[in-house]
Amino acid sequence: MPVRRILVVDDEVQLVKAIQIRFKQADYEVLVAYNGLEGLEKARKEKPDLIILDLILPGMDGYQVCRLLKYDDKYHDIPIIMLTAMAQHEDREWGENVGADYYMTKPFEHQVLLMIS
Amino acid sequence: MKFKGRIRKKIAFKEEQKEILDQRGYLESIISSITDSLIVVNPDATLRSVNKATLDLLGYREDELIGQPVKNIFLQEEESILHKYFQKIIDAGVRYNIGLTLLTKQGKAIPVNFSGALMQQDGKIIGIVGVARDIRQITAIISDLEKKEAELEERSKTLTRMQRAMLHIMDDLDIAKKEMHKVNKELQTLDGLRSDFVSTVSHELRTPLTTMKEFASIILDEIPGKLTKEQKEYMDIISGNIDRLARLINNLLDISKIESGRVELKRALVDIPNLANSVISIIKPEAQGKHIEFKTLFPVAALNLYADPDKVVQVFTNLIGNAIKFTEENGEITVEIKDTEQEAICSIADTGIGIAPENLDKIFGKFQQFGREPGGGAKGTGLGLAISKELVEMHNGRIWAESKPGKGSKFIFTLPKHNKEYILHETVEKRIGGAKKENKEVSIFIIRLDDYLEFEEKLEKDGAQKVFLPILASVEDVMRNEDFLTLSSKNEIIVLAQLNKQEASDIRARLKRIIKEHTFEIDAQLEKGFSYGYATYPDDADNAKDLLERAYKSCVQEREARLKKTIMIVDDQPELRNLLKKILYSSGYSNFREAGDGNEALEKINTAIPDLLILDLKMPRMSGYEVIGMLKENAQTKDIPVLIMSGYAVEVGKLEEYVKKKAIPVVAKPFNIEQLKKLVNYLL
Repeated sequence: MPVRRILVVDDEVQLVKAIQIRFKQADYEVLVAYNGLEGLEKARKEKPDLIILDLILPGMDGYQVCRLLKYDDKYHDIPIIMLTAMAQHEDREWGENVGADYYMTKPFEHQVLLMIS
Repeated sequence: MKFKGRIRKKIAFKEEQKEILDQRGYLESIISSITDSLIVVNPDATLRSVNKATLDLLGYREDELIGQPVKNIFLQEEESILHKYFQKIIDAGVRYNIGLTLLTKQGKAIPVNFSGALMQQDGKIIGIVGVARDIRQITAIISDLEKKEAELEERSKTLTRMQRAMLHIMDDLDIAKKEMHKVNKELQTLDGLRSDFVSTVSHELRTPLTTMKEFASIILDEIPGKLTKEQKEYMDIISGNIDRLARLINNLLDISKIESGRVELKRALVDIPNLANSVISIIKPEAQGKHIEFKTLFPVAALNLYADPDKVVQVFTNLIGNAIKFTEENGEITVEIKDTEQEAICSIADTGIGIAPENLDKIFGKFQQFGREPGGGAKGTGLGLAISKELVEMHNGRIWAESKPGKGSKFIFTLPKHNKEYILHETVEKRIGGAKKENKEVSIFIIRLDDYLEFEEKLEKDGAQKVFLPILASVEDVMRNEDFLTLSSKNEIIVLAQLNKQEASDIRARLKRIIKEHTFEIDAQLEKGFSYGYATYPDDADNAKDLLERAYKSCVQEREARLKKTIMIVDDQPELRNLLKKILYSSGYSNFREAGDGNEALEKINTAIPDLLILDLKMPRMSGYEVIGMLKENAQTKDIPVLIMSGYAVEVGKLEEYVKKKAIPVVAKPFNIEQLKKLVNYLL
C-alpha cells in the first residue's frame, strides 16, 4: 500500500500530536505545521495527499491558506478538510466558498476523520 | 317822459331786489343743507350764527345760542385750547384742523374735527368761521383698531412664549435622542461583546476538550498499550464525561444564540419525512443496546414545505434522543408524521416512564430535568427541550407533550406550510426591519427564468437546476463581500443585500454579464428567457410588500425592453436580409431596420441609433470596414455593438476568443443559425 502523506496544520500542539498518533496507526506519514505560513510552505513543498487545516491560526488564517492553495492550479487538487471549534453556519459557508472539500467541527469523531481520508 | 323813466327804474330796482333775494335764498339753502356744523364767531368770541346742522347736533334752538360765548358749546376743559386756536387764526391767519369736543344741550360730548378760518370784510376782521365734523364714527373705528392691535400684541407675545417653550422641548428631545443613541450603541457593543464572548468562549472551551477527547480515545483504543479492566472502566467514565461536557457547551451556545436573536432561519423546500428518516438512521445504534424498536408512520406522498432543515433535524434528534433515554429495555418508539392542508404534524411517542401531568408544561423550560435517574445513564443538560421549543416556534409552529405516567409520553410539534410568498415576505420584512434599525439600505435583486416551463422540457430533468446552480455560485461570488442572503426556487433567484441604489445597479450589471456568459454555453435561447429586476429600500418603497412589487415590476420591464431592441441589418442581398430577419424573429426580436449599402446604413443610423448592427463586410461602393470606421469616429455611434458577416472563412474557435477578448465578432457566411442567435442574444 502506497504510503499516504497528510499535512496537519493547527496551532494546538497537543491536538496535533493526538492526530498524528491516530494517523500513524493507520499507516499514514504525518507532516505538521503550527501556523498558516508554515502550513502553506509545507503544502507547496511536500504536496501531501491530504491537508487537515484548522481555521484559527497565528498569522495567516486557515481560510487564506485554503484559498491560496485552491486558487493555484498546481495544488488545487489536494483535498482539504477544515477543522475548527467555530461552528457557526457562516463559517461553514465561508469554508465552502474558499474551496474546502470538507468541514468538521471540534471536537470531532476521529473515525469520521479517518473515513474521509 | 319822467314818469316812464321812474317806473322803469322801479321795475329794475324790484328786479335787482328779487335777484338779491334769490341769491340770498340760494346761499341760505346751501348753509342749511350741509351736514357738518358751521358756526360763525364774533371777534368778542360770541356766536354770531350757527347752521341747522349745528342746532340738530347740539339740540339747541337758534335763539339759545346766538350771542352766547362760543366756549359754551365746547367742553369746559377745552376753553384755553379754543382760545389759543382762535388767537392763532387771528394772528397768523392760519387755517388748520384741530380736535375738539362739542357739548350738546344735554351735556353729551361729541368729538369733532374743527377747522376755522378768518372772516374779513373791507380789511377789517369780522369774525371766524368754523366747520366742525363729527368724528365719533372714526373715533370708534380707531379705538376698535387700537383694541385689536393690543390683542394682536398679546397674541404675538403668547406665540413667542410658546415658541420658546417648543424650542426648549426640542432641545430636550435632542438630548433624549442623543441619550438613546448612546444607550443603543452601548447595547450594540454589549451584544457584540456577548456574541464575541460566546464565540470566544466556545472556541476556548472546545479546544482543550478536543485534545482530551482525542487522547482519551487513543488510550481506550490501546494504542500506547493494553489496559487493565479497571483502567478501561475509568477511562470510559472520563470519555463519557468529556462527551457530556461537549454536549453541554453546544446546548449553551445554541440557546445563547437563539436568545440573542442571532439565529436566522434558512428556509428551503424540504421533505420532512426524509429528515426524520435521516435522524432515525443515525440514532438507531444508540437504541440498539436497549433493544428498542422503531416504528415510523409517514404519509405516502412526499411532504414538502419550507423550513430550515438543520433546525428540524435538531428538533427530531432532541425528541428522539429523549425518547430513547427515557424508555427502558424492549420498549417501542413511534415516529409519526401527518400531512394536513395547513401544516405537518410530527409526533414521537415512546413507551417510557412518562411525565407527571403537572410537569407537562414545565419540561420545556430551561434547565428543567425530570425523572433524573441517579447513577449511570445519559444525563441531559435540561436545555434540549427548551431549544427545541425555540426552534419550532421560530417556524411559527407549536410543540407540546402528552403523557400517561408509567405508560409513555408523546411529544408533538407542528410545522406550518407557508408558501413561498409568505416566506419571501417574512424574510424581506426582517431585513427591512434590521436595516431600519441601523439606518441602512436594503436592495432586492430578482433573477428570473421566465420561460421556465419551456426550458424544463428542452433541458433534461434537473437541467434547470444545472442552470441555476452555477448562477447561484456566481451570485455568491459577486456578492462575496456584502452581507447578503439568497432565496431560490426552481425558476428564480432572489438576492437580498445591504446595498444602496447605486451599488445595486452596479451589481445588477455584473450579475447580468456573468449570467450571460454562463448561459451562452448552454443554450442561446436560454439567456433570452432571463429577466433581472431590482428595488431598494428606502428609495423605492418602505415596506416589504411594496418593495417586492417594485422589484418584480422592474423585472417585467427588463424583458419587454429587451424585445424592443432595434436591430439594423446591412447587406446588399435582400434575400439574406429577409432570412436574417426571420431567424431573429424566432428569437423574439421584432424591431428591424434595413439598409442595402454602406451609405444608406450610415444615413439611417444617424437618424436613429440601433441597439445592434449586423453588417456584411463585402458590399458595393462602401465596404463593411469603412462603415465600421465611420461609426467608430463618431462618439455617438462608436459603442454600437456590431456583428460582422464575412464571406471569408473564419474558424469557430474565433467566436470563443471573442467572448474572452470582446472584439467585434465575426460570423462566416454561410453561417450557423444557432451561433448567430447566441451571438445576437449575447450582444444585446
